Amino acid sequence: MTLITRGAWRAGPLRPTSATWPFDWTAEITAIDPVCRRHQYVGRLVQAGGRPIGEAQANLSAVGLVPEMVRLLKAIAGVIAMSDPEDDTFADSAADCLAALLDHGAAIALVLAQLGEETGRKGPDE
Amino acid sequence: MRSSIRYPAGAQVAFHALDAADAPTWARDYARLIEDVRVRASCAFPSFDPVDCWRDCNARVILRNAFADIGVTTDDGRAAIWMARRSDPAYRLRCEWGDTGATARAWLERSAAPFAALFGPRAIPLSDLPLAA
Repeated sequence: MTLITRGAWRAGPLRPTSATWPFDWTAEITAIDPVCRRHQYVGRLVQAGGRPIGEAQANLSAVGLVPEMVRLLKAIAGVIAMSDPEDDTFADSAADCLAALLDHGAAIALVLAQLGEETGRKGPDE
Repeated sequence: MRSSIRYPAGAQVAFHALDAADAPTWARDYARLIEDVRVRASCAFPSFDPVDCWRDCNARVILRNAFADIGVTTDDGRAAIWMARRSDPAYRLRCEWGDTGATARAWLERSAAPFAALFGPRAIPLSDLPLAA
């Protein structure tokens, strides 16, 4: 199975493709692979120029977060497997499953914050 | 065994160590190296303008003039600083309509020695770079 490009993805600055209308928004996605210690080019994201700049920037940020989102989905899938009696990793303890889930709470909240989404978690003063 | 670091064919190349073990230190050293190459190359070759684009998946172009790109390729704890003839569509179009290619080759031949003197044919530890602190 082919996997996504390894490493931490970085979204470059959002730029219009030309100084005059019509234009598209474009930005480069690169990846820094911490294992091979290599910075490499992944590709270019092109978005319709009719999209408001804030929305285009948010879309670009979301693409840059793909590896982190995949990592978190894998982690949550692991917790679901822990909760499944038919899975080899089944842990017969709701507390253990909850603890494993809460381990990723901060990372999930960070991703949602970067996407501009509410986490639904109450702050310390609420 | 180390893989061979890839850079544009025909490029003038200098290699540097970039082998920090942890990811944040490596990223900081890498950013410092890019800044150092930009500053020193711009002083030695004032015709270059800062750019940030890629020639393929590995070769990051950080400076460009009418004939050449200066860039950095990283792999497996090493960085290759290279200077190579431009290959972008705008340059290739100019080559089709004039003798830009020959002029570029002559410019690169003249600039090879100053480039080697600037970045060295041998690896220089990052701590010896002027911007390293």
